[in-house]
Amino acid sequence: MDHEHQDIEEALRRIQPAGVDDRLLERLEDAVDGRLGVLGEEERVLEASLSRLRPGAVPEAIEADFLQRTQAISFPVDEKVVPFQRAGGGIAETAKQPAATAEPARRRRAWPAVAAALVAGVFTALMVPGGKQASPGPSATAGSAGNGGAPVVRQGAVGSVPAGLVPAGMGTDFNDARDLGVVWSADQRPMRVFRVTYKDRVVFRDENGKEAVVEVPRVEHILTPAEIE
Amino acid sequence: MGENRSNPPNVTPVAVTNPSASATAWREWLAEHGPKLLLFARQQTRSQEDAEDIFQDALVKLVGKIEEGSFTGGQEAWMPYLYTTLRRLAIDLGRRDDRRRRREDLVTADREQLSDGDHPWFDGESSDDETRQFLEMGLRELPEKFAEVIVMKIWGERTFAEIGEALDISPNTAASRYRYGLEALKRKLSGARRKGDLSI
Repeated sequence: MDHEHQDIEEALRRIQPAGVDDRLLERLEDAVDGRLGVLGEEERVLEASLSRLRPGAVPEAIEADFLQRTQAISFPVDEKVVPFQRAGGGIAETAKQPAATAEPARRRRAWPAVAAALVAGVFTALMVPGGKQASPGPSATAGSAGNGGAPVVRQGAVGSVPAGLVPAGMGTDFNDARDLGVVWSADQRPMRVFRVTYKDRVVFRDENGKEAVVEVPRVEHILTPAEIE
Repeated sequence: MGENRSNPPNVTPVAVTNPSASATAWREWLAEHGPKLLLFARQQTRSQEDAEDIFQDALVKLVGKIEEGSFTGGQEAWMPYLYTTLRRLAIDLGRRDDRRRRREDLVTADREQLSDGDHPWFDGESSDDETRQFLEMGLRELPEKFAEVIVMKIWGERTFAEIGEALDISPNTAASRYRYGLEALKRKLSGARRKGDLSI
């Protein structure tokens, strides 16, 4: 390297980079510790104020153009979100179906809704007067005066009742609860489906006091509004 | 709480094929997401007209890909795609405008006339319109690198990872710009707060 360049090189070597200022140091520490997204109190207040602002609506001309372009395109759905088809098939027309509730779909954690349903079922099973009675279902009706108040088991739900046996008690056990994912309701709202399995028990007793227990599984599907991102 | 159905739903993954329901679904999707996207377009461009242009272009691109079946990632990928597309369109538009202005030798005063104070970015409510105006003004005057992250985070509800993806920066940088952007906005608005014009 020639003499001129050597002088420049030495001059450059003699100057030192500026140090890292305190602000940058703090930022680097926050980055390493995962605190970059942590806001101070005043920033949180400002963030909340900004969040309350609503962006202006889409101009009508753009909306009309968009709807025209999508007219021939079926609105696609994810694997996670499927349309709800009624038992008779087909998807109900939104305009003809009143909304099930006026509440907008909100994010709900899965298990509080399931737990609430279970508590309601257990409460019903334990608190109905006249002995234990199954949660509402097709297999039992309230007792009548003719049989001394004992619950009458409807034929078909637990099969024919042999002669000499009378129902002596009923109960419901919780078996299983599963999250089946999200479906679209008839009015095109996403609903999360839970499949809850119970086991209804009916205890029969004969004239000698011998007991026979009949267990019938029962499945309920619970739908709660879901929010889809 | 919810409704009990004793018959299981017929869960079959299909599109919304009923035309009326499909049109409603599209309209509802646009009503929910359109304003957020348009806001980002406004932040990325120099005028309401430019914002609407790139907003419409981005939607057309998305619909085109869906129609021809070439969009990958499902519905949850629409918003990240649209934010990224809006940014690219805005950059392209900005470069074209800069080249044009260099050619036409516009002076700074002319450029300022191109900005539009007549098109507010946010809906105003009479009870709190002054706050809205101060916040909007502060946001408009923020350096672009802060404003775009704030817009995507607060109204776009994007994660820092998604913001980084769209803006081609790391999630950490996105988080930093968000925090320091809010600090910068707070400083910018401090004068109005001291005078009592701003209640936040």
